[in-house]
Amino acid sequence: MKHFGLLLFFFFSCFLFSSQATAKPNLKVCLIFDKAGHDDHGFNESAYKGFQKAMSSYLISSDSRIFEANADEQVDQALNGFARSKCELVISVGVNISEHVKTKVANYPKLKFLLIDDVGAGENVRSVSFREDEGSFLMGAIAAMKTKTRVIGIVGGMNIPLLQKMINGYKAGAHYVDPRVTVLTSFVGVTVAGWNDPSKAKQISLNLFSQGADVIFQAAGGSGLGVFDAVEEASTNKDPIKRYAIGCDSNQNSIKPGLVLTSMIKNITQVVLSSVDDMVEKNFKPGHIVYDVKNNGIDWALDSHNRSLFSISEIKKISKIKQNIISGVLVVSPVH
Amino acid sequence: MTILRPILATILSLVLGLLATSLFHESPLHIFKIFLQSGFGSAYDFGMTLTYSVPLILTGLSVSLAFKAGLFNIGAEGQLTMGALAVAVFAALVPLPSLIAPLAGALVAACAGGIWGALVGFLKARRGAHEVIMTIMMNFIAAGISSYVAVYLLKDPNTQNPQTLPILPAFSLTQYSLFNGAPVTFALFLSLLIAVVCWLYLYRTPYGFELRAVGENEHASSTAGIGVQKVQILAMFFSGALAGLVGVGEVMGRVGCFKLDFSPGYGFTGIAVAFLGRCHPLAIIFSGLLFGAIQKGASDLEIFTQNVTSDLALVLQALIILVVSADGLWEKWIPVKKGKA
Repeated sequence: MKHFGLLLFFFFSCFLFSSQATAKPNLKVCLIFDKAGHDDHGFNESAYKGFQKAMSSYLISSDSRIFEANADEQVDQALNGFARSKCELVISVGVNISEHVKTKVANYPKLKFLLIDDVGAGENVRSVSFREDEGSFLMGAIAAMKTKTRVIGIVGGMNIPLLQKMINGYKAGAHYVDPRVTVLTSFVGVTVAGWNDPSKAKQISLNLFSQGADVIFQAAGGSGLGVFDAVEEASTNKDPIKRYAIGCDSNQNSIKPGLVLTSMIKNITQVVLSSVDDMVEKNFKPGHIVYDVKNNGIDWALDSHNRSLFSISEIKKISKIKQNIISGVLVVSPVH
Repeated sequence: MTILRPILATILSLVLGLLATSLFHESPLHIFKIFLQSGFGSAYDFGMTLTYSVPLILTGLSVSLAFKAGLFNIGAEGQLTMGALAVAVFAALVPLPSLIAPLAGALVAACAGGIWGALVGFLKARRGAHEVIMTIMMNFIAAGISSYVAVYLLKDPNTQNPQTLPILPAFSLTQYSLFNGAPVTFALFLSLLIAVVCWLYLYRTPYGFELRAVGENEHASSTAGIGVQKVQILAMFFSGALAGLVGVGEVMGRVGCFKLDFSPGYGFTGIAVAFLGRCHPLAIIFSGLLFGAIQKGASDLEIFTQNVTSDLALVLQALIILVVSADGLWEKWIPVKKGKA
């Protein structure tokens, strides 16, 4: 009986090598997105990039799927379908989806779950959340450093607690650098459609410009593209004040090079990839992981598109603030 | 003949839609199999199909009742939002014994939706405001009010989602265990019952007759002594109430609170459901079921195929509407008997 396992392994590997020339990956991973879809140029897209990378580097099977859910019952349906189609890891992207998925994880003990932006419980669940307040603090500090008018703005998708957390961080960061800075706040919509309405976001940004704001942080998901458009319009119309936008969720510096001051990066691509890696190595552990500035989950984007916007002393100053957050000298609290 | 047309139209458009998938290197037969499997394959699948169908049947009824009175109600979306919001607020705040709680909740939902519809009916009847424009605008107002309530007034502090406080346990409907976890509740039978009541009302009562008369010819009805204004207001009230009842299944049956934007456009799909059912209350049950099955099947396509996404549901719906409404074509193929037209 001792050698039975060895024998089985032998048979199995014979079967493997006879049937396929190269071993195909058979880990099936499934992602669930909210209705903004997988190509929202922001949060969802960075998760999707992780999925694509895993796919192209042959970590996961080509049967892996993404699913865009319009309503909660579709999420239920997707989970049911994934379980039936031998999916092993389900990744729920964003708080809208994760909040619902976490109530269902107990029904699928054989599946592993990665919840992004919400915290669930269970032996098969890994939860991931981000310290957006720390990131927003950095963005506020950078905005306050670069503003000439001492007025900066933030455009949110809609008024939810997450946005309040970001606004508070943004304000705190701005006032940390310069207490005289005024922070203007505006929301695109009162419904979930506010996350996907670039033309309205553009109008709002132009409105904030007219109130004197020269740096606008977009925290509006898909609507954020409108903020970039507004900045571009100001620039082509030879606006005497130089206006900048700040990107969110993924590195958006390249969307309008030279006009995007920086972006608050949530490193979701890495989060997805590392969980896939853990699955491949059979090392997937449940628990709650908080990504912050310290462990590189949150960062500010500095690349070839925006380097010319900063002087060396400014970059040093920003790095100092970042360092202070990491070392704990500077404590960003989510509530003020 | 009137029955034949929608059925043939459905079959024709299903065939067309499925053939279209072969352009994306999928076998139409395989897709059809997935559709059948995911719509009716197991108790759970069938339960989900029913769950999708219930709101569609109700909004379909809502649209067709107004249509019978000569009114085009595009506001079912707003009316169902108000109905769902009202029942969610009521069920979260008013403690009632569990015997009468669901009934009271249903009444509240129907009244809220009804009032939202009757407002339009009133403006139409008294001021001549066009109901299409009015209902569209009321949809936005409903969205605004519901988001104000869900975000500021009655926000559930335990979640990031904009949603109201959970309803009290007395209000929640039991989900039948027969369906392996699909949230099928009494709302299903309620919608079937309501469809029958609608049919009785329209075709077996003098009020229904008046309503249809106004729909056929306003001026003739007025001459015949029917209070056209009263009928229009009442029709919009009932139409709104039917849409408002969506809140019963969605809030008390499935979700347990009001979630902002919970409806994936039930009110608008309801228009398609109504027209496929030719605005006949009993036929709407079947067209609602068909649309529910399409919605269920299409989202499973995303899981079980490589290239076809759930947007196929929209393609199929569009094809069905196109084929059903291609009147000239039908006259040529299946001429209506002379003297009956």
